[in-house]
Amino acid sequence: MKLQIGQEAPEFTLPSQLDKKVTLSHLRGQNVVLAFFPLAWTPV
Amino acid sequence: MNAQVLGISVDHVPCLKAWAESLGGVNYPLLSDFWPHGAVAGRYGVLRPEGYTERALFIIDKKGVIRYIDIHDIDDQPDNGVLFAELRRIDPEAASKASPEPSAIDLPHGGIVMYCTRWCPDCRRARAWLEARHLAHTEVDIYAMPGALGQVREWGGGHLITPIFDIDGTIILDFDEGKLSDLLGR
Repeated sequence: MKLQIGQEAPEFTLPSQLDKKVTLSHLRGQNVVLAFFPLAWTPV
Repeated sequence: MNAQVLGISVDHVPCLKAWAESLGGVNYPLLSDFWPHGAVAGRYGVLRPEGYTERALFIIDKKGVIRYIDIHDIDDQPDNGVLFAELRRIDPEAASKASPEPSAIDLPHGGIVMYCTRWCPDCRRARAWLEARHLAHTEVDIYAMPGALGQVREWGGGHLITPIFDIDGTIILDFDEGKLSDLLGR
């Protein structure tokens, strides 16, 4: 099921390299840019 | 720009840490969608059959609603200019409160700072040159650090030149061994 503009962004909690977990709903009140990238260490 | 950037890939955390370190540090979270493998990418519709994600950008507004989707050509780097324009379109108020581009205030200063891309061969040669002379330096991936791309373009007179060195305020364009030797005395 492809996501569309206007839909609510699916919630998640994931670990990060900054030793803290990030939960999307905790960022309400800010604009968020979610940038998926294929793999670390690989050039474009 | 009033936006929280979150990078995300299927790499596990130790890999993301090592990579961030190799880039001289990444000051925004790089999220690990490693276990369950690609679960979040799957929910966003960007998990490829190969097991890694698309190169994709989502802008999520202050209420948690998706306002922009770019599932980009995986072999291409999305243009930050387009991203900023979309952020301005979605939230002009936030854009007008902050500077239109990420500020260069957060860029590292002091000592040898080298602005690179991950694939630039001259950056690799420059890194080896510095290491052979035991010269400590900070590296900035111009695509990973907000503000870096704009700063590099400014120094390059509109052109994208890498590597670029900021050595205590002195800017050297390209891997110019002559100028570097003169400045660093090595």
